[in-house]
Amino acid sequence: MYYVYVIPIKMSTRRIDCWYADERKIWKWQPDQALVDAFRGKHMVRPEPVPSRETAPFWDAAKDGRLRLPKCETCNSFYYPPLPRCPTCHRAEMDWQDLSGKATILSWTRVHLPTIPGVKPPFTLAEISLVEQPGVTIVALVQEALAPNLITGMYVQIVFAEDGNYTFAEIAEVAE
Amino acid sequence: MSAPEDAIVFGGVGGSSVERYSDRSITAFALDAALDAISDAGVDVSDIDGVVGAPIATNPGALHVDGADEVSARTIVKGLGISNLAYAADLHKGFPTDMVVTAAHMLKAGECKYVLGVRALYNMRDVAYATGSGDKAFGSDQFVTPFGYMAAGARFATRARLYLEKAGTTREALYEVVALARRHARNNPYAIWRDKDVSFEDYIASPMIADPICRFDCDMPVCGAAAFVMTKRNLLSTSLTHAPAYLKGWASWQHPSKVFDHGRQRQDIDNCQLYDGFSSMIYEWLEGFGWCEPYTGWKFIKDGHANMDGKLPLNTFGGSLGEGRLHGMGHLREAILQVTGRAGKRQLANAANSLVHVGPFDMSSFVIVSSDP
Repeated sequence: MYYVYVIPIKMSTRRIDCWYADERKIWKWQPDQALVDAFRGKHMVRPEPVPSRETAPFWDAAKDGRLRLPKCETCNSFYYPPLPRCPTCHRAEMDWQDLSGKATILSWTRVHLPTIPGVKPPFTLAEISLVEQPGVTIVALVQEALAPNLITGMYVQIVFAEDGNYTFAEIAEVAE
Repeated sequence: MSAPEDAIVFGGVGGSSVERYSDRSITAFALDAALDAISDAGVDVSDIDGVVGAPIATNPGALHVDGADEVSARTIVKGLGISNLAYAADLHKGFPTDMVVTAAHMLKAGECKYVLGVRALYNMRDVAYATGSGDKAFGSDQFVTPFGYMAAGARFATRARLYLEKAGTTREALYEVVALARRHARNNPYAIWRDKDVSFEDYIASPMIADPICRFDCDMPVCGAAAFVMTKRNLLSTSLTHAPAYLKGWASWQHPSKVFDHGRQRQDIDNCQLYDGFSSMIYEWLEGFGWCEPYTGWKFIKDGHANMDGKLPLNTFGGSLGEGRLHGMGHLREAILQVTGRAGKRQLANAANSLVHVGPFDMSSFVIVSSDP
């Protein structure tokens, strides 16, 4: 008995960014536009999170536009990403709580390669620290309106936006 | 100097060619390097009774296929026809420095007499090296890949941007690392960027990858491998034509300063091979171990202190930025060659203790390689 496996060739395995493609392109770099366009095409959406029992409450709340994180009541500590156990007291029971989504900017980068399917470069991602518990760090994309105005330490607001089949955190200006 | 009989030593070190692309497989490069190291150690394949590797392909577009972009200890053992194996280990997400420590443990436990360490890298054709991602984000990826954090050095770029801000400087600080790498690559026959200096103007004009990291701040993906043979001093081959190198320090990621707990102090270190997968990484441990004040590492390099004739010659083979991405294996090989006086045109006048760092920032590991026990 023979099994024939048909393995689809995914766009994501193509060299779409001419990363060190050859000697000439090192000095005069040009992305392969046809491949970049295909990469951004209708088949490409942002990678869809596959939640586990530990992370599902986060993603469920995200769909409702709420930032919800697990808190260890014993240690008075929030965790992101959600963890199976509190690393301090090792308790598995977490108390899920809604947070304000208010945070401060730690750092950011503007990315010029198409590294996220469905997101057109350049885009900006940032690391932010939650006001409820500084040190809890979240990485998310920055809204384009805010991106040129980022300052280390400035206050920002986490909002949620649908992208592809999922709802992701985004970093926005604090509303006046 | 009389050494303890059971001192842990590098008997041999070796490497394959380093190429941008190849029609030879990663296994071919790995076996080239392994045989070179075994020959350098003056032993036979039949003597090898331990094998250690750290085979993971670290780029986001990696296939993770044995014989394609990774090569496992099993493949090495089979490929060399090793039949005397006592123990083999592949270290998931480990570095060459971790391979050294594991090899030392295998020797100290008495399980093995000659441990072969091999690390190979491969630049796959027709694979998006830095940008691969799937339709779904499983496990820890669910908080990472939808935000592009692990791709194209983004997570290192945020750190580099903050460094430049706190240091009150600009991309010039990153250029100093790239320029140093190219200078030192001139005398490394393996180096991809040998005799290809880069001007500040060319650097600034180079395409941005993830601001402030431009193309020249990233090491070049290559096909290549390097290897070592570790043993105990009393087991060194009688046919050895060079001095052995001694392992005189090691530390894992949580307590880096423990690298100085095994017989060598920071002030004993006369050259450093610091990991430079991205240029900005150099500053972390140049400053972290106190060779210069925080946020002044770039001045240290600019002022020439990291040159071959400087206070602390740094990445004397050109680093990954000059040689190509052997993921720290080039750093380890250079340390061994320097302290055994075999670095050719780039041999330092004083190279007794070389500190090797591999890994990003606070996820690194460290060893010290010495000429004396």
